[in-house]
Amino acid sequence: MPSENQGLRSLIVAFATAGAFAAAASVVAEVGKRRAEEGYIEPPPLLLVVAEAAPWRSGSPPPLWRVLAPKGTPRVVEDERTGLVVAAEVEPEPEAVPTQEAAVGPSNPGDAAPADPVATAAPSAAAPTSLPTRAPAVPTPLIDADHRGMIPFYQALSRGTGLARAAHYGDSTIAADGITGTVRRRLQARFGDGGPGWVDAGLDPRWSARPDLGTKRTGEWETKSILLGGGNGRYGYGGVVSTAPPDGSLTITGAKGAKISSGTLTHFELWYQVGPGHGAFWANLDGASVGGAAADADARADTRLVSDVGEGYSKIAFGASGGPVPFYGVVMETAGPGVVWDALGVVGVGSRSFNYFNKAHLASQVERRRPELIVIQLGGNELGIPVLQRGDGHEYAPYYRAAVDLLRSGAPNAGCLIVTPLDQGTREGGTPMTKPAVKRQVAVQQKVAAEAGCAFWNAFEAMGGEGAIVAWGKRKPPLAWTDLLHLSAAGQDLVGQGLADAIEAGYDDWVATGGPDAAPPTPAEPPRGEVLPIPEPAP
Amino acid sequence: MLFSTFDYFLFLPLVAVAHWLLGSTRTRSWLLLVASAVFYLAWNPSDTLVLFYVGAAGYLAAIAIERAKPEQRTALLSLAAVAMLAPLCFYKYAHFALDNVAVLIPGITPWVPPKGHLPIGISFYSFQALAYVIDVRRGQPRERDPVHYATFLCFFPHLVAGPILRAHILLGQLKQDRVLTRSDVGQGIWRLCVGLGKKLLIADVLQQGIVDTVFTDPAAFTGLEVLVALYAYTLMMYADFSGYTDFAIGSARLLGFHIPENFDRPYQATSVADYWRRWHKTLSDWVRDYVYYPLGGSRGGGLRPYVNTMVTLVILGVWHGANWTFVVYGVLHGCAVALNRWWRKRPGWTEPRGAGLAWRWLLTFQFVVIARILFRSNDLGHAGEVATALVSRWDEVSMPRYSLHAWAVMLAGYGIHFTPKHWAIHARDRFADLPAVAWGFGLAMLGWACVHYGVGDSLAFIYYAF
Repeated sequence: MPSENQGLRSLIVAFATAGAFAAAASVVAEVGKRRAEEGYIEPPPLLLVVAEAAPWRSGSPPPLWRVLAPKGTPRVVEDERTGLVVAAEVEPEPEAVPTQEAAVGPSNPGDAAPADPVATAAPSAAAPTSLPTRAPAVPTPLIDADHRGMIPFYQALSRGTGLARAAHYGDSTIAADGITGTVRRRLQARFGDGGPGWVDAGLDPRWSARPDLGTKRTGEWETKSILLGGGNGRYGYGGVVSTAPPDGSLTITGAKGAKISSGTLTHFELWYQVGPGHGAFWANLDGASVGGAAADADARADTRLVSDVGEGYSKIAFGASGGPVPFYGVVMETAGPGVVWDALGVVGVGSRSFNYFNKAHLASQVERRRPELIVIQLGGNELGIPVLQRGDGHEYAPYYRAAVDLLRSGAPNAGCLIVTPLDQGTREGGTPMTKPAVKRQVAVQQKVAAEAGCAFWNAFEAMGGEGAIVAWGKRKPPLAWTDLLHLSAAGQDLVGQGLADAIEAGYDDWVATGGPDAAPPTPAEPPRGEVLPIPEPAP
Repeated sequence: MLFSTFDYFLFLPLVAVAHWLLGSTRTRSWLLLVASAVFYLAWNPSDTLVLFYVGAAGYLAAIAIERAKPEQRTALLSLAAVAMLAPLCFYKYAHFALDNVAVLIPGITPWVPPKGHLPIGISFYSFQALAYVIDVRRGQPRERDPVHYATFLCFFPHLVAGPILRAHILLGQLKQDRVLTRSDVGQGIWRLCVGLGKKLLIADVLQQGIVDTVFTDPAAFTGLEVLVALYAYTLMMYADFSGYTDFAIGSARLLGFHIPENFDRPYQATSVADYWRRWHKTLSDWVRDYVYYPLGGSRGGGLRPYVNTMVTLVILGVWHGANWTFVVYGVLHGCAVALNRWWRKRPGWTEPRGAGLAWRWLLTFQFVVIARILFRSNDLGHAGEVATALVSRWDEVSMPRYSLHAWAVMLAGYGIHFTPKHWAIHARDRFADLPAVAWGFGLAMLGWACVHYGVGDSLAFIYYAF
């Protein structure tokens, strides 16, 4: 046989073999899909593995179709600045920007409070025209019937004196202070700079950050958080307790030589724990001592050092001497009027992580901080739990509701805002897509918000809903990381802008509908400055 | 059409079988031309006009130069070069140039062409067509058959990202009565498998698992994590581009063509000059033959060879993109090559061995890795952010937060890269000895592995943009 024929026959046999395998995988995948739709049990694992290799599935364009089909748009997208290819054969950009015509909705965002959470998850139809468009994000209003979830915060904003505080609890999406930092800047620009607010004494530097601050730590601090426990139930207001070694210290300044705050910081608090075997602590503002005492006590208790400085300060330092001292965090505030937005993210936590807290301890810590709004943005680390994999996910509601109630227990009169987790993706058969559990979780959280009297903001839909994390990752600059879980700094800012837009729009609507006149006057902020040892909470 | 897609693995055997069923070389060229057109049209049909223009300009220029009087040929070549490089300059460099004019002369608002996308492969086929015209000017015979000429320029395996072929290499084979041997098929499929693995199992995994994330938010990562990401990016670039070349060489082999290698384990280089002899060899050869030698090369004393080196390396850098990052990248590499030359020219210098050679390799490799910051960054500011992140937060060192998968891929990738070259040749030959059914089964298994362990939709090859 001529060698050319040998070669051609080998070529045909080789590609026919590979093609037969691919065709078999496609058939297996298709049969498995249909049987699953008919309610049959899953096929054996080996067939599932074979089906993974299916190069074509029903519903997809036939092979080679994209090559031969008429071209409407370029198949290569390049970065404008560098010319680098950023995507090839990309899907069309998601229709993420609602037009003015499409954005017609109720004038009062609160009117959108749903009877059926799933049905009302589409936000664009409810977006009031007052919300600005920030593509690819989707303008998304708060869902807050009669503003009942936000009234205490709105009242504090409208008061014109003192501070309006929000405690924003969350996971890694909050720990980097991207979303919260943007909300803080936006609200402070409009209502006044209340200062950085609460800062944990022990941030996990790998995920947590306060980009507006610079920190310098000496000594080997030991940090415990509600992620893994180990802190005897006492993790402070932020869910993190950090024990300074003898001679350990922490210095906080503004970032990169800037001031800590655009306002004049006049109020400082240092929250710490006394207990057996503890050393003493010290604290300086701009190098001048503002106090210090022994933290040794027969029993554990939470306390704080409070200092008011008339002329302001720009640098704080505190530490331990003579023995370890557990610190929870510091408070840096102006005299107001202004907004303080505490970023209380702990990496990796979910609703049940708050069970590590001694409940009385958490309640006393939150009560002491006196927030006018509790923001809860949890669930991003819970998408894999079994109860969210089946049915409508309603079994998830008790877990989530327990965390909501626990976090509100210290400030029952504060407002409440539930923010959903961001979109998260997975790669099914190699194709990146939104995790199926996300929509179930969002629906459950919306239902819990309605039942608990909390306002609700759908961050998932604000990103554009299903597939958003994939689309955001393809933007230039990228708005999401390629792990399909986290947003880039630019993406966090975009979500923060959306949340700030929604809060401001809600506030404006509350004012426009006579909210400040109808609501009872809020009590003046109680005097602060005293040292209040808190007794050991019941275990 | 991306090489690393199922579509291509249908397209290629269809074209190959049809090609071998045809009798004459010219009919085969026609088929390859049509197949190349289909392949290229799958990207963006309007780009075909630019390709046609550059190709036609080269063909006509070669005719004009051949027919012109000797004293007119250089002028004609210059004219042809301007005409053929005009689209490249317009699409790739006009914005960059005009933006910088506006910075240098405040108050002037230059006309800026509309920002379109860069026609894919324009840098490759422009250089290839220009080389053909220069070769004709230097006395090489021109190709008289427009079909063969067009096929040489548009041959789909190398059209969009090289290797950059010299006309005589491909034209000679196009006109030969080629024969497909069993060994051709075995080795061709082996190269396809290698390319598929490099692209989908290494490059895309590292890009999605480490590189893109770190370069998106460098400040969110510790210095150690940024350093690991640079090593990942360095490997990713190699796997991506050499994977493309494997596809090109393998595809061409199934059609009976032997096209030159473009890589020779570049990270084993023991000097930066050695690196450029191993990385994108056909581009390095092009600038050597058409820029460095005409400038005088290493002839002449004093600073002349150093200046020639610097000019050549800056052109190499800027070829990759219109951005100050690539200018600085070229300058850095030029300085390194010049420094190496000066070092070797010292009296009493001898070729190092043993520990000395290892030290040279280590320095070279670290230089290549760090310089990659400029290659990947969007602009100098971004490069500064990455560099700052690289030297920051070393006091927070802990295990970098990358998946076990990404770690395993990186370690395996570097491990393979540093194995002896004859191992790869031996593996290829063993594969080629297997029955054809085993080749197909191997290809299918690799496809399954790419789905199972890859990242899904294949990403574009990085060099498509150059």
